[in-house]
Amino acid sequence: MDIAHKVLEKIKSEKLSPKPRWQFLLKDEFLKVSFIILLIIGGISFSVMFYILFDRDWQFLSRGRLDLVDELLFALPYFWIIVLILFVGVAFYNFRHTQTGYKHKGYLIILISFFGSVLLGFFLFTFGAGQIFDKMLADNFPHFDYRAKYINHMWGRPQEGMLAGKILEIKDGKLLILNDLGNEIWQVDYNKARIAPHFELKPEELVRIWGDEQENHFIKAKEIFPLEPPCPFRSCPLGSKSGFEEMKERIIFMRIKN
Amino acid sequence: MKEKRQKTRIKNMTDFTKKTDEELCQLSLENQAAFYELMKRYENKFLSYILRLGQFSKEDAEDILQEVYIKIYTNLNAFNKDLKFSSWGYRIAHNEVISQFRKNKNKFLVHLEDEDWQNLRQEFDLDKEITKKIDNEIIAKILEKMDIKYKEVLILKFLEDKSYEEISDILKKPMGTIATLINRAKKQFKKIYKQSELSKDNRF
Repeated sequence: MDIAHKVLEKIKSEKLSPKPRWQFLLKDEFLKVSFIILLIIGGISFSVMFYILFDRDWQFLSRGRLDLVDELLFALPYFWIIVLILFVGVAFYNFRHTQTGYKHKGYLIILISFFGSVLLGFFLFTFGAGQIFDKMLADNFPHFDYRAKYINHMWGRPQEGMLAGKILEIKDGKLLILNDLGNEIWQVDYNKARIAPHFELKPEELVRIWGDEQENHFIKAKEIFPLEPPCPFRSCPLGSKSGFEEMKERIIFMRIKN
Repeated sequence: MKEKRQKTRIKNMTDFTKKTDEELCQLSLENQAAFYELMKRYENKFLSYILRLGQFSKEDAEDILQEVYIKIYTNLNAFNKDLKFSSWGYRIAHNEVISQFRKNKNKFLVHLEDEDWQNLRQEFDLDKEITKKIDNEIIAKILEKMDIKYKEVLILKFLEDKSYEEISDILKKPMGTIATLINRAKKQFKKIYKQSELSKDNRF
């Protein structure tokens, strides 16, 4: 008996039949849809990264107070970078395993996935998705509250003249009473300080202060800015003062833990 | 009516020889006679490919071929009409051989026919480079020493006479990668050949 006959016999005896077409179509469609979903997740990662990067006080690097490499390493949102690499990697794998995915050059698929995520990320960022997802992550997993960590790291060192907090009171038009991120009370002399343009000092306002610590809990301010940097486009839909109290609680908790 | 249907069936059966592979593939979903024709058409090609990829006994190679045909049959609906049937079939045969090697942890020993030796000699210009003709056994040894990723492209290109596009479809790799693999395979073949201890003994 020749091979072809043996195969037909086996098909008959084992009652084999072709698997239905929908199974293969479903698998291919699943891979394509998951590729798109993974790109969207990559885009979300980028939108948060854009939000975080726009939020950093890069102007202080040029003033020689900070080390560029240290600050850059601290500023990176590692969680979102890992999410991005992971999802672009899985997106690449899925695309490669579609019926015709192998025909395309691997580096091109990765570049398209990467730049697709960047573009989508920027688009989402301009509509405020970055802030929303950053806040969602921070609310659910306080360990990943990059903003609180950053604010604490950058503006929680009064001994270096860098302080952030909420204005409680303004005395005589030259002294601020400030409740800082660690819930301590400071007096800030802003008599000779440069105030950020279009920014009015008033109680309840959240501020960053750059100056010199004179003595215990007293700072002579050189510059005062709002705590939240201006949001480009509509990238802060939650408002600039959103979640300040929660952030303060997390910072106090972080300080106790450390 | 019944007689007419039987005549039509016989006519269809005889017509199978004129059908393209892709048409037969489609017809095989409904008609096993079409699948039989498809199997007969590729029996020798697939069998020699399996034998070329590794040193199986003829019986083992036939068993592998049966498995290949069963996989083709059960996956008929996965056949992409944009592909050639032969590329798809070779891909399944290739995967089945690799899976057999993984199961049995065999080495990739090479089994080549006389015509194959001639093809490889011409391609690598071996007879020009070396004063004496190298024997077939040495070519087989070189192929055995080669990385599998290089060896399989050499076999497909020079022994199975497949185009870059077909090799790309069989191995599911981009055409640019296939071109690179073939170039590297040629270099590795020549390097192993030159480094071969047998070559140092000036046996050629």
